[in-house]
Amino acid sequence: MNMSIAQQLKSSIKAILGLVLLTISSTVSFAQATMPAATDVASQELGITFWFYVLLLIAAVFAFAVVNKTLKVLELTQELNGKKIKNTYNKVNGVFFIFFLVLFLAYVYYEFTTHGRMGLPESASEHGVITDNLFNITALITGIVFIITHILLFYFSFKYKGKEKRTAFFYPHNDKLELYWTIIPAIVLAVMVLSGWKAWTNITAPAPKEALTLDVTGKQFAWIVRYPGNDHTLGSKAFKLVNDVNETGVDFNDKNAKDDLLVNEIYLPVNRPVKFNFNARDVIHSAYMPHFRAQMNCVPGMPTTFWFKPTITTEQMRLKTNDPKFDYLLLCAKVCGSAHYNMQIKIVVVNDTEYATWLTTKKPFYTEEMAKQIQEAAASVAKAKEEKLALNTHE
Amino acid sequence: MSDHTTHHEEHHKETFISKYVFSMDHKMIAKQYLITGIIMAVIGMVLSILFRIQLGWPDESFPFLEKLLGKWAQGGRIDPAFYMSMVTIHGTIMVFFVLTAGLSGTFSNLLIPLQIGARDMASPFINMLSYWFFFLSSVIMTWSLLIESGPASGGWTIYPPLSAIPKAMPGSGLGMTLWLISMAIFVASALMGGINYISTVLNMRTKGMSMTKMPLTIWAFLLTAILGVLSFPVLFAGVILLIFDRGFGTSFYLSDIFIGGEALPNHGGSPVLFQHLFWFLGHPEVYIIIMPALGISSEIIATNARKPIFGYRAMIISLIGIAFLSFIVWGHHMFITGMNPFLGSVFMFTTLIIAVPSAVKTFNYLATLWRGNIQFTPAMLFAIGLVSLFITGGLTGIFLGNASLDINLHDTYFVVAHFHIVMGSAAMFGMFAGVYHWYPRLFGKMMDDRLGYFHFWLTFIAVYCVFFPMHFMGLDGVPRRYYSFTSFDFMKEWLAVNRFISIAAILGSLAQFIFLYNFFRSIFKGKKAPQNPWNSNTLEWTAPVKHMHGNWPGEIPWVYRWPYDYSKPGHDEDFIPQNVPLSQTMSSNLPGDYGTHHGSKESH
Repeated sequence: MNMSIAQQLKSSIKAILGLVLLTISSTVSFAQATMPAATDVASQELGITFWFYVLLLIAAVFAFAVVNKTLKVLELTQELNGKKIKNTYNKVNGVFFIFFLVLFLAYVYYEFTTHGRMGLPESASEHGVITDNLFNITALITGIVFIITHILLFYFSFKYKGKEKRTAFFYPHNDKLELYWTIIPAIVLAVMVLSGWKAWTNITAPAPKEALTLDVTGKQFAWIVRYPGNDHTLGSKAFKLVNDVNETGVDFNDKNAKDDLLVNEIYLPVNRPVKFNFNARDVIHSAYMPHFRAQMNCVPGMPTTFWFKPTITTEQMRLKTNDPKFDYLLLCAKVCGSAHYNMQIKIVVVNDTEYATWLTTKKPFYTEEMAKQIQEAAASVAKAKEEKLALNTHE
Repeated sequence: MSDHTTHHEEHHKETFISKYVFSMDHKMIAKQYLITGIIMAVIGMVLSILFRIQLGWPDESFPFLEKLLGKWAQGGRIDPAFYMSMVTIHGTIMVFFVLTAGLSGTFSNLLIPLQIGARDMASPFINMLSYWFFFLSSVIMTWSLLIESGPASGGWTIYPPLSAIPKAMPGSGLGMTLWLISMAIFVASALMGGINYISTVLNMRTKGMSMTKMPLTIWAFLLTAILGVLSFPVLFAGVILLIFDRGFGTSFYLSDIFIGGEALPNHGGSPVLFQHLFWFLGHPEVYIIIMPALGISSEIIATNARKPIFGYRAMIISLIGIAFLSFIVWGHHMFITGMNPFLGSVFMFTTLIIAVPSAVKTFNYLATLWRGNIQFTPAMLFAIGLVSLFITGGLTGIFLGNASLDINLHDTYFVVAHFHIVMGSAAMFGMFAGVYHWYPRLFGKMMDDRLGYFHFWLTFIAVYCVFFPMHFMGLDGVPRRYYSFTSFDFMKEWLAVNRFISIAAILGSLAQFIFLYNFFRSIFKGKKAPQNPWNSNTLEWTAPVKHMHGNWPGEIPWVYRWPYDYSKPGHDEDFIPQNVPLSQTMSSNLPGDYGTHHGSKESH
């Protein structure tokens, strides 16, 4: 009986096709079949999805068992025919590497053309254009290396798959060749380092004097943003002054603080450098503004800063991305607690006149009433502290 | 010769406990490390599947999750705090317990004495202690999953103040305390192991085994151990200071903090200090993980391509280069922490230099495969898979090492993709390759090749399906460690991709059960292993298949040649083991074989 099956299975290619079908059907078509479900989340469909998965699982196990048994039959017949099993599997796996190479390159192409296009829109900041450029150059160079080395790796695996008659080529070293592939990567990397270093020093250079300065404080789980007001100078702050009313601990004895503004959305005038003074009140946060290619950690007890020049207004970007709902965002990128995944504030880039109008609608957040509230809050904190101390002395 | 045998067997009247539990035999300790590592890997994998379910189906509820996780998945939806815990413990377990202890612990223990020709480790007792400290720390880490307030949840990098203040999140209470205790014990275990590996390699090589005749595995294990011994104490110091900050009111990492309605008294500390201490271990740690995998794959690729490893000396030099440079690149994890930008430039420079030895290694692997006679054992497949993953993940490192590009990529999914491919999957492939290759040496049985092939192809495809799309999510500015992507409009378009990734991850993890089945079944029902199943040159295949104390009956074999005399012209077989004297292979000897290295002369 074995022999009759053996006739059908003479070519090992069929076995390979079985493997290909199994793996592809179980990953690609499986995923595609469930893709439409991504948009509708109706609960009655959940039952169907569940059984769909169970059936697919059973099918996969069944297919696995079939292929496994088939291979076993193949093995037995080959043994009967006096062939070496090892060489059969060398052939199977070697051929499979070529299949894999083709599929892999197709997959990489698909990824770059579909998911690669889902990336961020063009940079809305001046320095971002430079880093995007640098990114593209790096991607080009590494992409070439990636493709070539993978073609070589999988092609060699196929071409030099083990055969009984083949003898490997004894080739322990070639100093010249090794020198080449030490020096060439070194030179390429040196060029990248230099261009990266140049961009980095420009980005991290001190902000221009005319820059608008903002104070951004991260707390669990919100951003508090303070504008300097008419005097263009931010009032000083101290964490010891923090309470429920004065969330960032602004020192209102500082006269610069009296006209500071608190905002719910960050408005930025286009083409004017903006300098962010970052700080955090409880744990480390990271102010990430992907559309401006800007990010800086906000650290409690250690002020940090980042500046950039926005070049595209929100309106313009909405036109460019063809998305009327598009908004720039500042979001948290450093794990900061349970609600880390939703800590955001909107950024609106506008032209100068719009910015000036927006500013006039904002009133300083310091009021007489607030001063009273702050005093009360401070008094209650002091009282609580006293009680605590009193308790301690009793013990 | 037989005198020696009886001598050894007389000495050790073994009970069950001394043989299987508190064993001082390096081979048994290797098995203990491996099986503990596998158990931890399964826990880590299950955690990853649970949070992939959350990421793939953020709006659906799964009743089975509530049955499984109880209060952490009320109504069948995973709690955000517990999501963070799972991510944290997944990272911790995979990085430390599986890929550090499981990989290095298993193969350093098994191979160092056997490949250099030693009877056992320099200190078998410390070796045993090392395993039991590891076991204890594994138990504590696993136990922390079960406590009421939940396990540590600030990410595996446990940055304070999040990890230092119990009020900051639920996992920063008892869970974090257990994490720190577990890690402190783990460091002790890693140090005891490392000291042992170094002293064994340096002092106990058999006659003729000069440093330049050692297999690349041993070079990799030696350098890994040196990295561990130099860097783990720094993590230990960091952990101790964090314990002080948490428990004894010090302010090493804390300053100016207002949390839970009150201002903390801590003043003058710096959270960035912890990051420096952590990454001073953390970066060498990445190489502690990947170097043994590279050593293992060098050995397996040479053996199965039936060719000498190309550029043996260049391989050693690049390993040494990587080991040295790995100590001066830690700052590339901190480009945007507010560290002085000039320091950032320096770290960018050192980081991109480290790509050079990595490139040399890759090209040397390719040259080794060229014109080989490749035997596709499952181990060889995984070794080739490792090279592919090492290339893919290594290249994305060039983006992240560039400070100006890192600004936009830091803490996004691009980073997740990068390190899961280059350090997670590649090292895991190295571990699989090692298990398939040395299984006959570990258990005296053969694993089923066919199941191994299934395991490889399914895993290889799954790894690329899971991690490759993540690069593009990162390029769209999607940050890591997000519980769901539904709060941001621009992230919603990735929902379908996330679901694809989750499905690929679930299928990929199912494929691991093929491995588990194969592994445990073969212990009992596998074919009996022949003496030298892969026709390999190294010394471990000259020791008897059945384990014995002292590894070799009688004299330890002497070494006359390097370990890569495969397919040497003039010899009738395609391999010449290291213990075959040059006088027996006159027809194939090359002038260089009589070289000037000490120990290569035949002074029998």
